Amino acid sequence: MKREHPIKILRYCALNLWLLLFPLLRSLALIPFSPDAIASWIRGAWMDIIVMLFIFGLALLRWLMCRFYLNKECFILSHGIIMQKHIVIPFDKITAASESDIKLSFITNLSLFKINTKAGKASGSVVLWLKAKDRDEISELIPICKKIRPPLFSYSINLWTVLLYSFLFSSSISGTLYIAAFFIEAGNAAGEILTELHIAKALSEMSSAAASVFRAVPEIIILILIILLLCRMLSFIVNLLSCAGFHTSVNKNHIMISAGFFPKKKAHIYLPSIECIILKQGILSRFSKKASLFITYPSCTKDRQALLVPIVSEKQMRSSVLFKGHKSKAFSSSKSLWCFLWQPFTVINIILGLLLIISYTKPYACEILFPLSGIALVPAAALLLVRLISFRIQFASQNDKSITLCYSKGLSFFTLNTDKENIAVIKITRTPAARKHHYFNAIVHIKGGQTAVLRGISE
Amino acid sequence: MNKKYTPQRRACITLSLLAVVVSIVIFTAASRILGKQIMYFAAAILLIASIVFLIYIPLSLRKICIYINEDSVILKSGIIISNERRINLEVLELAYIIKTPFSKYTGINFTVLCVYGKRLILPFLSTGDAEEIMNIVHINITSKKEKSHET
Repeated sequence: MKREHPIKILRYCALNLWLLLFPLLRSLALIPFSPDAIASWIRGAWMDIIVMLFIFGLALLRWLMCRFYLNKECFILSHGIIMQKHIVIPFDKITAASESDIKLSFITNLSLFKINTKAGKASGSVVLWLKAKDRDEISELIPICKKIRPPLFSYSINLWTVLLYSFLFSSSISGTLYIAAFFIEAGNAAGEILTELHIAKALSEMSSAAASVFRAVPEIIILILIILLLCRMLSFIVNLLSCAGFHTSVNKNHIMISAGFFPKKKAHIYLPSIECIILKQGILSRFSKKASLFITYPSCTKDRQALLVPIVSEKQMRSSVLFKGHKSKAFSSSKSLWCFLWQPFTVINIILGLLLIISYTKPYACEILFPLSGIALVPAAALLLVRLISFRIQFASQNDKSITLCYSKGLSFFTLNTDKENIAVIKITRTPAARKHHYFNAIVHIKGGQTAVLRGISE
Repeated sequence: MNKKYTPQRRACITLSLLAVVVSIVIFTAASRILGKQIMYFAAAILLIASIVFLIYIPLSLRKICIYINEDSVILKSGIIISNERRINLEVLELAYIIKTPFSKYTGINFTVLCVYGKRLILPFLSTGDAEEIMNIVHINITSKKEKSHET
């Protein structure tokens, strides 16, 4: 019988514990150190102390009641105070296991260990906070966690390449630059509008508090920009830290992915349990013929697929065995261009229409809002470009077993390969124009929550 | 095996009646609460809405068709924009029928087919048709399982 790392007691403690603990400690620090003073402090705060001890006691009891057992064939977890729940997972049914090591000076040997089975996220996932020794013991028993020697395929990438590619192609960097440009222009526009509307005279007649609020509008916008930029940069650094030291090795039966400085993560995935292989590209990476390769497996969420290879050349990927042997191919119909372009065109027309209306009604505002509308047009223009490229490259191909779909979603391009068995629902939509010109739009829902949207596919 | 199913005529009548009743209730409530000018406006909108309901519901129900063949279940719908939803019978995980009170007379019941967390709802089938679909689904799945065991 084994227990989780004692640090899990703090995780089990309710948030209220901290809300009670800090005021109590502060009041304790303020009183003089004498038995009388401490006695009077206890008399005043006895209720808080009892509640705090109750919360901590409950967390301790939950930790004590959470135990796991290991034998040669299965892993047994039992937890719960009143209602005991026993989870039995045979080692050979584990489809994925991930471990992340948190090595801090005061929390040594803590490792978060997640076990996934085909049952999915509802009942098939178990997260344990383990000591490194216990984690090693479990890892030795799980077949997919055994070391791959020698690997059939291995891939590594150094930190500088990740840094360079992240800087050039990362959506967080381009998003940061876009937000910065938008907020700087919004700040300038707000300042100019305040001047143009002759607010200065009105401000002199206002109360000092109201006037200071009005004057602060451009500064508040710039302050929001700085906060957003800091958050963006922080997420960029966190992403870099989690991608550094990326290494993938593939064996006949399983894949091992290790990455990150802090926390150091390792994922083991059973190869036959893989549901989809997804090749993802942004606009810039599309032009530079580079892509990122993702995989999905049971219990991995829709938005968090496992990154298999961060940077791979498109040519290398397409020539691989995954996309070979596909006989029937369906491309987008030449008459279906409008299917691709109507959304970006509508957005562009709305922005330009609004600008036209403003230029007639308030000519001074038009000059101020012109740069802002230019910035607002950038994503619509990018979407237009993506859709035009998508019109050229989109296809659906299949062989007896698998299907490959190449499509665009938002500002990214995807090439998805999956078994035909994994397709849940296919929704086909035909407008009157589509019926006339013999094409259709298809939405393919795939096991695991992936959705592929194919526009204007020729019949 | 190639079978075609369509929604019941009873469902169309029930839905149209419901739409008219809801329109009358909203109209009566509006006439009591709102002033005269707004009431005329609301009445006009409700009149248009009830006409749309009376034309749209029968038309959309007429366009609903369910086909079952050896491999898949296909639901066709849509008046101007036609929709076709298709699921593979082989990967079907769960199927059930939702019956509303007096569904025998109102025809409002739904047959739900679930695959990997996605659902295909077959609306307004008669109880007999819904049970027949469930039987077909069951026979298909068991025969395919037996075949796979044999191989």
